[in-house]
Amino acid sequence: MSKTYVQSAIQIASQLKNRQLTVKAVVSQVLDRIRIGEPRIKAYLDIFNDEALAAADQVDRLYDKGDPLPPLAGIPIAIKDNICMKGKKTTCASKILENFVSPYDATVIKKLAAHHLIPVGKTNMDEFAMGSSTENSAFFPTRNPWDESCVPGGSSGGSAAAVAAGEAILSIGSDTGGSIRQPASFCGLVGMKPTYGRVSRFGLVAFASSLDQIGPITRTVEDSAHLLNAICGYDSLDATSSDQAIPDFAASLNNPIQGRKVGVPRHLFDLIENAAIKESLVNALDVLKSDGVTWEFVDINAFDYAVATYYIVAPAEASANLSRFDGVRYGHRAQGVENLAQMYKQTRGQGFGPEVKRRIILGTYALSSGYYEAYYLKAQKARTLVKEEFNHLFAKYDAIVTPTTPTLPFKFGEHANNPLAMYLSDISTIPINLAGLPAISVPCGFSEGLPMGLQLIGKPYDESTLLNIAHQYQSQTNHHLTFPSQLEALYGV
Amino acid sequence: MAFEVVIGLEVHAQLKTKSKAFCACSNRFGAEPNTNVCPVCLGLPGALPVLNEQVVQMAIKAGLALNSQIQHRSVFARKNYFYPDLPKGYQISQFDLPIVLGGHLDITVDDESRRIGITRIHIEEDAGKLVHQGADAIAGSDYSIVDLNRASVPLIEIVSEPDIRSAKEARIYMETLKLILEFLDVCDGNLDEGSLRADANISLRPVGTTAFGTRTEVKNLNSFRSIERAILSEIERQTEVLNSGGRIIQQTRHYDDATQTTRPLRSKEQSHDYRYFPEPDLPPLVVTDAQIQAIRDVLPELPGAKIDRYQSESGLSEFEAVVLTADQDINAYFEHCLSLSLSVSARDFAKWVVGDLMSLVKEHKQDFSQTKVTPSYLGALLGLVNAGKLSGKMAKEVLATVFKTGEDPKSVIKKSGATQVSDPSALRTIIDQVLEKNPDVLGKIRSGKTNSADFVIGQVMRETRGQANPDVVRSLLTEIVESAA
Amino acid sequence: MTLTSSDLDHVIELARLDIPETEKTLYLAQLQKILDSMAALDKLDLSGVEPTFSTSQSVNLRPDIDRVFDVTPSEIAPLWEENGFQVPKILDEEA
Repeated sequence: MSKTYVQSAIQIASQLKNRQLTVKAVVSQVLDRIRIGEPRIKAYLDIFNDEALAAADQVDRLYDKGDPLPPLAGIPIAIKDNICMKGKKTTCASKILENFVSPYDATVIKKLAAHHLIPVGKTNMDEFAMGSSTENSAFFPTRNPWDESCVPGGSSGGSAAAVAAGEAILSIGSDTGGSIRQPASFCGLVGMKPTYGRVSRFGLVAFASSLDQIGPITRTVEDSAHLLNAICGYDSLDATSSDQAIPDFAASLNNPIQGRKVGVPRHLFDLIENAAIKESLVNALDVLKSDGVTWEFVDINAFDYAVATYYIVAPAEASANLSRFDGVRYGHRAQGVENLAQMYKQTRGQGFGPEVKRRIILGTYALSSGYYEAYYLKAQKARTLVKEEFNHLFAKYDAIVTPTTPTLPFKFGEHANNPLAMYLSDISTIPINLAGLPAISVPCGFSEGLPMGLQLIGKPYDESTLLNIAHQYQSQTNHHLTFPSQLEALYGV
Repeated sequence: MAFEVVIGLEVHAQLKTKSKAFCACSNRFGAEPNTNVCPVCLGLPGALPVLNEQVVQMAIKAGLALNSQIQHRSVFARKNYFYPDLPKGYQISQFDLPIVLGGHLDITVDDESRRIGITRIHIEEDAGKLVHQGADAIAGSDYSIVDLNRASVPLIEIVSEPDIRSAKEARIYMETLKLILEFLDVCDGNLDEGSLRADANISLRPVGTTAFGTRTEVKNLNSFRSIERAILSEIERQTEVLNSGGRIIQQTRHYDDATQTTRPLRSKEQSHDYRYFPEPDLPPLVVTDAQIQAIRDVLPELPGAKIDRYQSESGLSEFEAVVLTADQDINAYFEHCLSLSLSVSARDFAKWVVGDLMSLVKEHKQDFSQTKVTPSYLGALLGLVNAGKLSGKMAKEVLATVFKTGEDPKSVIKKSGATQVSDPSALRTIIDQVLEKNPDVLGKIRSGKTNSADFVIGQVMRETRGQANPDVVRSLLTEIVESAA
Repeated sequence: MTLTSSDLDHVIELARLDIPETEKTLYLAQLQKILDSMAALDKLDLSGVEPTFSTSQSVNLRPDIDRVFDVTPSEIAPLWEENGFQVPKILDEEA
């Protein structure tokens, strides 16, 4: 059998369709990779070995019957552990939910099931999606398959590492300030944050409700388009869910991009110190130029104040979202307490890790009496400016292009005692969540053996244009076709 | 020193929806604990609230009935605090932008009309219920059990201006409000089940001054009696404190029905920072003029308007009109009677509903929704009286039987043979027999002796065992007297 | 703005957290640094700017239909007694 882990989901699906491959073979190979790779990569918190094989048999029977099936039927997929699956632990990589078994399915999980995708496990993450390295997992850090001394990014680090290591063909992450795009970039993958409201948040454990979106992490743009087709859509269980018409995101991938105009934020470009990252961006722009895309530098200030804005808004919402973890109805409860007040404090004191506590404190402070105007309200006003600055640019440009991250994947512990430095690593991705826009990260090269990513930011509900440009770019590049060499050796291929 | 009492009431009314405010769990009282629950109202990780459209309709109805301005845009907020009956660690409520602003409610106190201002009405979710183990209350209990059936049941909070001036006014305000909410069909008004609960803000100020005194908030006012008693007790307490030179401390107090006193709640001062902020899971609530108008168009007639109409259009006495609108059951019963389009007048119905039927209902501790005397039965009975087929006295007896058995009045009458005889030819035969036996009586009548006419009628009634229609007998007798002249 | 240790204690209490005294100094320093970075917002002209609390453009309501859910609270409860979630002695009466 060919190496399914370097093939895209769509390539594998075509072989499933003509029965050159069985779902069981694909799932078995992924489970083999998990067995071999996991001791080193540690992408997963839970693995569904038997269920995945049983589900594979079922989908094989459907293929055998010859009925028309959705494009991604039978493809193994990894799920970030902040998305609820009925009967499965949903821990958010937190001690406070260590033994919590969800009694219900997230809408996204139901949609994946309806499309016959096969969940193979729940992936590691920064606790409650708070972090950019997956080091904030309460259980263990996940390693970057390209260099095991580096972080895979975060917070969806497990989802990205799983796909990069061939331990899943597709994965689902969540993105509040870059948590899909940054790990996708760090792991040499495609990661997309859809427009706010595109994908139902029902069943996604909330970090910052007005910023969170679920999205795909895949090897190719084409896979992302198909996976987005599967998971997006209006949901009556999510009041913020959008009822905007949904195009077939895969249908426009091959449209010509001749005549498209993109803007490149000048000040952000200047801020970036890593020469290789700058160079990769320039090279990428050259590739697009050869397809008839014009680009120019644009002035936008949002990148200068978006991080400060985000680190008020997100912790404020999080401080309320995480109040439900109180030991009363589910999850961890402190033992040996004398009264309710002690139970609350000790449960939450024991259950939450330092970064989560830091953000709860920050958010509580920003909302507390006397500081609401100075912090929370001010930040929400600044958010309006972020939105307006982008809207202004979209009157002229089809997309805004930036490096996804200002640095290469960093080493473990590099930002351990400097949360602010960690926060600044999301400078390119954060403004997009504040403005509710769609954005995609595509691999755009390697430096020191580590992947780099290119971010394309689009108009609200215009994921199609981003996917179209990104796919055309990917058609002319092969960054996404390489595989971490030390894993090839490990897997014996 | 003489003090003026200043009271503002915050009334929480549970809305009579089928499902909860933000999830599809049943909004039904009395289910087994923790059975009307789902991921949303349990506050499970990842669950999201979606607003029940009926809640919006009901809040608007209440606002229109209280002469308020319905806001085109209102915003839900999170009110953050920790308590075991609050699953999410915040209550979804409305804060600075509620759905209803302004308005007033007119109440009648000692025959005087008083206008109480309404500050606002907002939508919020109820909390769950705590059962304290090892004692009757939190104090002294070893631990507590949480039941979340009530969590996220929709409430409207109706906040009055500090326009209420006595405990009695507060009770009447609450009673009037309850009646309106019942007529609007937005609240079942069942105080025993907690459908309507009040908190009172109470302060005193020297008579003649306008500045407000320091207020206390008294919670747990769950019956009309407790509202009045709690306020009286708190007024008494504040008066004593002020008269002895003390100062009122702004605090929350709990009313204990058993001791009929209020006491301060045990709480930490610093826990009063609710950190309200707009609920990001719920977009702002938008209401259009067309939606408001559509609700206005179908707004039911309210008690005040009904009282006027019953008097001016149907000729009822004020007393009857007030009694017939005093609760929703009696009014629904009366309106049902009127809708039967029988030849029985509203006045006749009113007379019987307020009179004999009400006595029976009260005597048997029923309400008008339970009585076996259906409006159609009452209509049939009164129809027979009007047609002269039944005397008033007989009707009362039949009514009592129907009330007891629920039998059709016609079959009751048939069984007892209690039909009134109004047939002139049958009655004429009997009159003639009486006159034959008493040959001199006609002469006496002609000479003006009314006693003699009554004697004849009485004899006829005796012969017919009371079933003769006395009016018909009298007119037949007059005919005989005049024709023989 | 300067975050004092009493501010920190107040916020820890509001959020029902438990932070060992030894760690508070570190938290205080880290949080102060983050708050200082918020000065970026002070440079903005926000006069007359309306806040954006959400970018959602939806106005979704739910029809008033009730249904029963397949959830068994006793299975997820840390401590279950008499059909309810048991909680330890409550000292603070006011919610």
